[in-house]
Amino acid sequence: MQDKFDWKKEYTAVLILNVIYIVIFYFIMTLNK
Amino acid sequence: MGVLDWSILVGTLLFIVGYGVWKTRGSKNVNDYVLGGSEAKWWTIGLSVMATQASAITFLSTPGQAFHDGMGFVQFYFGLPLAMIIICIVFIPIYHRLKVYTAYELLENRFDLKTRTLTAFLFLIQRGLSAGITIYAPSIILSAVLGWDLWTLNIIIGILVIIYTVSGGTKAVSVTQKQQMFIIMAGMFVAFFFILGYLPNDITFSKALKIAGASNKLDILNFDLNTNTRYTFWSGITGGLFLALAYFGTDQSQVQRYLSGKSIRESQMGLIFNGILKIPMQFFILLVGVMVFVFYQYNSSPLNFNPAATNAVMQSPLANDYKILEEGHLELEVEKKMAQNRYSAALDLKEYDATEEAKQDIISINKKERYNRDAAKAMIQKADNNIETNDKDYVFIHFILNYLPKGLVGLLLAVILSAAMSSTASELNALGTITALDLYKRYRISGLTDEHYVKISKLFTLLWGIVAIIIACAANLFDNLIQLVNIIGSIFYGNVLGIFLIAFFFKYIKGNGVFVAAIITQIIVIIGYKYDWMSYLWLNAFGCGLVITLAYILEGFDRLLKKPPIKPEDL
Repeated sequence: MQDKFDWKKEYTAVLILNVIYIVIFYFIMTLNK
Repeated sequence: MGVLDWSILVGTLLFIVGYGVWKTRGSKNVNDYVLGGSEAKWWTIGLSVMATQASAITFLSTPGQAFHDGMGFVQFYFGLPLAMIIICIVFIPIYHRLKVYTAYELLENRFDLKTRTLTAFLFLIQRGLSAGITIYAPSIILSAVLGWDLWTLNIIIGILVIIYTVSGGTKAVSVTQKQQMFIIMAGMFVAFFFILGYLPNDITFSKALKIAGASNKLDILNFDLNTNTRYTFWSGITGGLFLALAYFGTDQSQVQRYLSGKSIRESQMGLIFNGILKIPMQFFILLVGVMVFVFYQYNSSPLNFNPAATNAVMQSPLANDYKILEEGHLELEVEKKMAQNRYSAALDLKEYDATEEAKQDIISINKKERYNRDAAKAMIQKADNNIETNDKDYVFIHFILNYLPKGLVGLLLAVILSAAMSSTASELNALGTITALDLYKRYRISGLTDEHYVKISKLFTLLWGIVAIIIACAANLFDNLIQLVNIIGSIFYGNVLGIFLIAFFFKYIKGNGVFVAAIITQIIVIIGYKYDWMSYLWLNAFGCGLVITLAYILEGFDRLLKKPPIKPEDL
């Protein structure tokens, strides 16, 4: 049903932002050990 | 609760209901009623999607989860952003291109009527039950802590939701969800800053984080590969991805939110909004719970936060033993406060050895405290086998009722009830739509007017509202009903997601193959659950994989049988 995928820059932003969240979580975790 | 609290609570709820009814009066056609006239902007869709997922239990239970087990629960949402992207790329363009009102309409287009009907039925069973539980879960907690009558609370929540959902349909659901999300987030932020304000003067926010970290409450990430550990990075991005794909991509209570978008772009941006904000929102709610934990390092807390559980054990022959346990708990609290003060002073002086020493003391006291709490739970269970001993749902509400000032208690109760209403509204809206369009309309012989289907959609929404209230009122007659509903969700979700993935990606498979495969899969998944083949959270992925594999094999057989026999002259 789907022939081609339309990748938008917003998707990249979602991925990057969520990776940044995880990095921040890592720092919060390690700095407060 | 004082007059001010009551005024804020009742005023907020009545304003939401009144605004929803007034703003959306006069829906004349099915598109208006079911898709809100297809004119929703991306921020409305985003807020609506988030409000649908965040039920009252999210705001009652999540802080309690952080209080007891730390912030690792946030990993459960790690698969969600990826699921949002997949839905934006694959699901939304197809839904919009086919101009469907319901997710299951697409399956008739791709396969056949029986597959559409089967998935619609699976949805109605699962979502119908969970609509009742969405009302029941906060009611049982509020009735336990406030002494309000459980049935009255169920009926009030149900009727408030029914009024605007029946009257205005999807548009009423989304406009009220905007107000509800505003109240929910404002209430949570105010509560957060009040908690920080209640901490001792020398405890800054960064020191509060250190205190939480010393008790392992900030163990946010866990890269353990052990499948028995429930919340890990890996289970979040795999199991969480499957669950989010099934929930946001195929559950009508969510699909209907983004189908109301003005365009594909608005629908996609609505989900992008969710993909960007969901993890920070869950992180913040967990952080509120962690700050409640820090607060209780300096203030007295009950051995078990569920007052009904404490009452049950205190009225049993075990009352004296429980009192001894409580005395031990009080002594531990004094020790804990002293250890926290030593830790705080050592942090100020930057004395590494003293910091470590105090930290070890805190860890040891925490262990003893956990042991005491577990012993209390065992005692409660012995006193009354039917009572809920897991008190995580009661931690935050205990703090709200005992420590927040007048007025704020009313606001926070409005937060909890708003969250209950926002989720229930989406569920009733979807249940009414599916019954009216996928079953009633599809199986009527003659074509009727649009106005008739609007009336029928309203009628079914009302009926489902009544069913939800009845389920909520009957829920306490059954043990572990909440868990049962979660299990039913996991049993059905994987199968339905698999059917949708076949529709999108496996052109080779046709209606008969997928229908038979779906029925066999459902039976196998139920057997698998009954004989405990795996944790029920993994049933999603199992069901999804199984239906795809079976459909592929069955389609092959079907084609083989339909092939004309080879004639001698062809050889």
